Amino acid sequence: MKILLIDDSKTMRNIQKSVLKQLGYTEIEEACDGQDALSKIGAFNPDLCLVDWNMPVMDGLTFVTTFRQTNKTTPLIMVTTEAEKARVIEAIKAGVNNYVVKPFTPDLLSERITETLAKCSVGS
Amino acid sequence: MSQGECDLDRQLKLQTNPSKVEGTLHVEPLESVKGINADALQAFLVGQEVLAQYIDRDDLDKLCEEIIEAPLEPHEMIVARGDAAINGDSVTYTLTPKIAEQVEIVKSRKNALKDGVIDPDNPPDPEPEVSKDSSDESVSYYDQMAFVVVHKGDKIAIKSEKSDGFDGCDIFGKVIPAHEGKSNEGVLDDSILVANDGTCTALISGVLTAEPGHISVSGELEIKDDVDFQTGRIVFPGIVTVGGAVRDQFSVRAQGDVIIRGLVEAANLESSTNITLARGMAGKESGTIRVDQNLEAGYLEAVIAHVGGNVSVKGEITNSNLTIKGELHAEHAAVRGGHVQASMGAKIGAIGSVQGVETEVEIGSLPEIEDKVRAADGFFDQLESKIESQKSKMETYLSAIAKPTASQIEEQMGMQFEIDEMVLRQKQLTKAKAGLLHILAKHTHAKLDIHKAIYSKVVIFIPGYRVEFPTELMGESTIEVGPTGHPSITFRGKTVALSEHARVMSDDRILRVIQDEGALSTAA
Repeated sequence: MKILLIDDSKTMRNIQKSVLKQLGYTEIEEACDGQDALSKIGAFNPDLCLVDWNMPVMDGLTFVTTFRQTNKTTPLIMVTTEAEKARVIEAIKAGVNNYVVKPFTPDLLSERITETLAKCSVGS
Repeated sequence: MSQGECDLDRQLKLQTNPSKVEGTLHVEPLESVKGINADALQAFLVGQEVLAQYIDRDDLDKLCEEIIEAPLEPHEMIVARGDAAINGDSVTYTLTPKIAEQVEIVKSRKNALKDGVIDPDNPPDPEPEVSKDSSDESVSYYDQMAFVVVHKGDKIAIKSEKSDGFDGCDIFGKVIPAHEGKSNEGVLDDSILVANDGTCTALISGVLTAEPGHISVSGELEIKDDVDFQTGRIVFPGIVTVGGAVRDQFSVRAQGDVIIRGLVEAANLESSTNITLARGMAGKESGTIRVDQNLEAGYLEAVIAHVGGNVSVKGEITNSNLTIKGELHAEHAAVRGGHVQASMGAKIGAIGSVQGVETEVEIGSLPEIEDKVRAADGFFDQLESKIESQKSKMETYLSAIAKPTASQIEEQMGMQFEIDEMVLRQKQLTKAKAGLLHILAKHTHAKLDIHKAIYSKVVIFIPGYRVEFPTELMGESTIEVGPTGHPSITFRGKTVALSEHARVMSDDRILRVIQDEGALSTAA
């Protein structure tokens, strides 16, 4: 299972990486914004992406919209401080499969990842 | 036959060598040379059934000339030659250049000693066992062994196969069979493997014997006399037996057992298995022993030893520094002076002396593991302090924020993550420490049996305590630290707290591992 972490904060990426490692995922790639993620996706070909919303260069929502133009299946989880219902709906409409609001606990992130992967696996 | 002619057949005689490969024609003195020519002689030889192809016409001509020149003298000449048989080559074993060079070095060494280049009775100053500069080409007779040591898989020699040879033929046309080359079986023993291409490889590591007619490798090196200039310092991949002594500054390092029948002086001994010193060792405070398994010795005097297993000493242990991972068996011996540490306990005849020599005995400790436990404790405390500091910093940070921004939320998460990581490390340390304590509990035994006496000025270290004996304690006694961590002594059949017979002081030199769950909670 290959997972791409897209967040401009290295600390956040480390936190997510720590949770993923505890879940047994070791093939992890990191990107610091949406543009960086798009440039890495072709070579890395992830099975799951965790995307932050607010990032420089290209924000998470633009990344999701662009990515979904060519890829409808790879699960995307938005991990963000944007907690308003309208923002959540906006993200889901753009194509994210799940939503985690910061601050999150490792357990919550772990739960959402498992849940998303299970849903997408049933769906496919 | 007319007058003046002779009966040539009577005057000629053919003689052959034993293999009949050569035919010599003998000619008696002749009254007349009439009819003497090469054809006549050849006819005679053919009449004797010599094959024409083996008759040498030139020799016959020469012989005729000689006869004609001096008919009244007897003549003889080899005039027929057959084909001698060419016998086959026997199997040969040629040492590889590397081995041959080593054999030569050993020979030169022996010659140097024989010729007095080095006088074993008046040797040069001892050289320390240090690695030399590679550009230094001088020969050290300390380090150069008088043996060729090979390792399993080393190429020793190349075998040349025997050949059949070529049959010959005698002058009468009879075949002379060639002798086949000898197999030379028995030159190699089963310590050497011969491959199809003739490469002879050592099947075991050991000392090489390379003599005419015998090549073998032995996993046991037997030195009949002393380890000194005659032998050099010994480094051997098998068992080493020394019939004599091991002299000052020399060493014996073996992967197998080391058995020394004579006295060991200030030398260095190492074995990956066991060491037996039939007499003992007088180490002069610089002689060392390092053995992975057991050590047996008649006595040990001023020796530094690290022993992976048990130690048995029949005589005395004086002024020595011993570190023993197993048990010390010295029931009939006295430990006088120095420091003896035994992880799995000790049985000792007497500790100290009437004169009051300072002697330390340490039982139930395993320093290398204890150091790790202490390091784990230290790191745990450091983490605890960092966690507290981070928590306090986070509380201050949060209390100053009414509604956190996105970046403040992330910063808060970062702080929490750091705390979580440190807590996780603490958990890992706790687990590792539990493992180390388990090793300590399993590989240490704080029990000391004394058969005769503990004299004054003796200090005994047991887990958690330093025990001093202001006065001597004569008689059989057993000092033990029970699972609760309390030291006791059984003296004259009565078990009491150790403090009744000695001065017992708390001391953390040896970690106290409390195995009893109830006692553990009480201690906590």
